[in-house]
Amino acid sequence: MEGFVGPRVYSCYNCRNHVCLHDDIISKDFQGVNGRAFLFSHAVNIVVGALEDRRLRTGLHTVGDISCADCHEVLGWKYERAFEASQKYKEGKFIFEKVKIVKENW
Amino acid sequence: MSAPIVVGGGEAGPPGVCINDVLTDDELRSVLARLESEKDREIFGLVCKRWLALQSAERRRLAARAGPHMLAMLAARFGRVVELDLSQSVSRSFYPGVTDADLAVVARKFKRLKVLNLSHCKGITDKGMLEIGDGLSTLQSLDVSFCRKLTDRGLEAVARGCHDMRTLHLASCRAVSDVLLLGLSRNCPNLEELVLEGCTNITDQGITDLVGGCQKIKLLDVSKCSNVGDVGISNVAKSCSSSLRTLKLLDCCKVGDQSVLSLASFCMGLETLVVSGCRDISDESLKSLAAACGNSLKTLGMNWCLNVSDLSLSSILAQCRYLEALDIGCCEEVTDAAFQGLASVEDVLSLKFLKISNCPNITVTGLGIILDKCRSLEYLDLRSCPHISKTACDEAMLRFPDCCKVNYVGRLSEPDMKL
Repeated sequence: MEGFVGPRVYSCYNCRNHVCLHDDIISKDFQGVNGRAFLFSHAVNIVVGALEDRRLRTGLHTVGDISCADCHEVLGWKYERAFEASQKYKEGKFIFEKVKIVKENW
Repeated sequence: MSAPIVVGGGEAGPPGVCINDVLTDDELRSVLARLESEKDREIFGLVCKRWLALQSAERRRLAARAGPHMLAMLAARFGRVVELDLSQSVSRSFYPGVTDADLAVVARKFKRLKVLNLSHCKGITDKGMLEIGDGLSTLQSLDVSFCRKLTDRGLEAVARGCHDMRTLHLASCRAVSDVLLLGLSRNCPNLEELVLEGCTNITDQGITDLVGGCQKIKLLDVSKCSNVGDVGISNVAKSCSSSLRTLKLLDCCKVGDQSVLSLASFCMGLETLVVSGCRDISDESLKSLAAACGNSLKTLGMNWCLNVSDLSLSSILAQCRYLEALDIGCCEEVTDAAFQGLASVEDVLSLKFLKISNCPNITVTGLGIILDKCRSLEYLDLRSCPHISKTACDEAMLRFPDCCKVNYVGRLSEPDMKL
């Protein structure tokens, strides 16, 4: 349909499985192993891996890798718990690395 | 059924009589009562319409995904159902799901209902709760975890209407506040189990009000309620001292030593305590807890309690003889010395589930003592311990209990042990 504007979807870079929405971005200011990363409030079609306690730059966190449900590529991680009060806002939210997601036709 | 069947040992009735005509409903019901597995009971219902009607009438529990029309039909067919499970999957894309209209049907038609599970029914609102409060006065257990639209208004209506409420799960119902807790204390004196995980508006005042009227609470979960602190928890300990068995305070950062000391003073029967993330808790109060609750404590979660050291851990291991699950992840002060006391003890510990991940000062020596005394271990989390690895354990020739799953690097899924 010409001119139809739907939700702006991001897909897994490897298999184009839909994984998150542009409107769910909370912050673009994060750094992953492979460069820039974004914080999203929601994610779909992903599997959360084993949760681990890790000392990150911003303090102690419980995180788990997130991978594409179809092709199992690791796309980022999920914050499950945060020790510092200032970092609590990240709990339950998802980091997708910029190089691991692609815009789906927009 | 037309073929003649011989009834009893050699004593035949008149030829051509069907067994189904001879047996009465009561006799068939007593046969059904002896069938233990759900599958057998379902097969019973496959015999003929009469047996199906009997089996349906006896059925106590239903799990369904149904709209209002189907729900009404289910209520008509299964007249004695006391437990109804309409919970939905976690998936975000489920549509439309259970609605307030469905709850209106449930409230009007399932009059004997005692247990209702609506967890993850994201579409329901206070309107549905008002129906439930109006119609299901005998309701004893309600699970509306993750029903994010619910507020005090709807849930208070449930409290007012369901005086015999015993179990209430409100995990992630973020709009819930102290107002509801006051309502529960006024209307539901028999409340035994209350889950408020993630209800961040709850404060000490609400908790204090709650235990003013609800003094039979066995399980209280205020995990992630960051505004709850020592005042509220001390009041819980005092008011529910004889009933309290499980208390979960995960990431309640304002909870400190005073709460633990209150629990030690009042709650001798405490079985499960989770204070993970309560960073202000120190050795002294935990030692008192070990002394007071040593005979009852089975599960203790203390991960991220950075002040915990060998002093309290050794007391806990020595005095909590029935301890089955222990989590001291990220307790950086803990060293091998905490386990030295165990080496001289005769008894074997009943520990099944142990997490010592991120404990940089525990080495294979300490682990060796643990393995020696904990022969019932089923799960051991050793991740991110710099001195402990599979290689190091093999070199030290450590003997792991036969059924024990060991997590060195985080690939195993963790069993659910109430932590």
